Amino acid sequence: MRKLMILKSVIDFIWILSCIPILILGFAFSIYMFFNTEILELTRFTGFEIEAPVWQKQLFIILGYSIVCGFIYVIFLFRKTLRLFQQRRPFDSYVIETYNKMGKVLIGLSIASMIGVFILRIVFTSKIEFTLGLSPYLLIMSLGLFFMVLSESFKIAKQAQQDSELSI
Amino acid sequence: MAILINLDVQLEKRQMKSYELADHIGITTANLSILKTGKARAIRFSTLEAICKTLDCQPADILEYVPD
Repeated sequence: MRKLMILKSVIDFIWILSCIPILILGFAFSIYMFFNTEILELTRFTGFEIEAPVWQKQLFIILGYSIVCGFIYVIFLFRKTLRLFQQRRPFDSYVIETYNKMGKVLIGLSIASMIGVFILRIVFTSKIEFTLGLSPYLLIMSLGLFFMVLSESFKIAKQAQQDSELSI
Repeated sequence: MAILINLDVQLEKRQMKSYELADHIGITTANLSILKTGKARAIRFSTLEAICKTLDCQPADILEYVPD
């Protein structure tokens, strides 16, 4: 249980110090960029220095923010399941459903970010780039599939637990 | 479920109460109720043996197969 406590503390730390500020600042930035387009000059620091119409930059920032929100949602769900682990209810239906949902969201996010970055490179740098080998998108997709497998395993474990409890 | 538990019939024949049987075989009345209502997923041989010993009957007197 000590490892669980450490994990919960790390996730809480990430949640409070990263997720909440990113959500607030990202939202504020997304709104503000429509009123003051000069703020979009910040995108120069991200490596995309090619001149592009303002609306394209705004669109990609909105898309990027949506993907980040998706990841934050996954952390939010994971944090909730850890609470159930602390209550010694690892095979709760909520955990099973949430892990499955987290898996689906992560796979969706990895595909969305892969396509997003691919289009971003074409639009902003006029380059078509394929990366083979270890890429973060594949790792995120694998993580999503892992959560789905974990959900299936928990479902089987729950069934076994019920069978054991109902054996007289 | 295709397996019926005729524990009620056997208890009635012997004028025995559920809690008395539960006491004899060493299980809780709640578990005996699960068994009687057919909610149990499995029955241990040791439990079956204890029931048969207490009620002086055969497993077939308690368990009955009814096709669905």
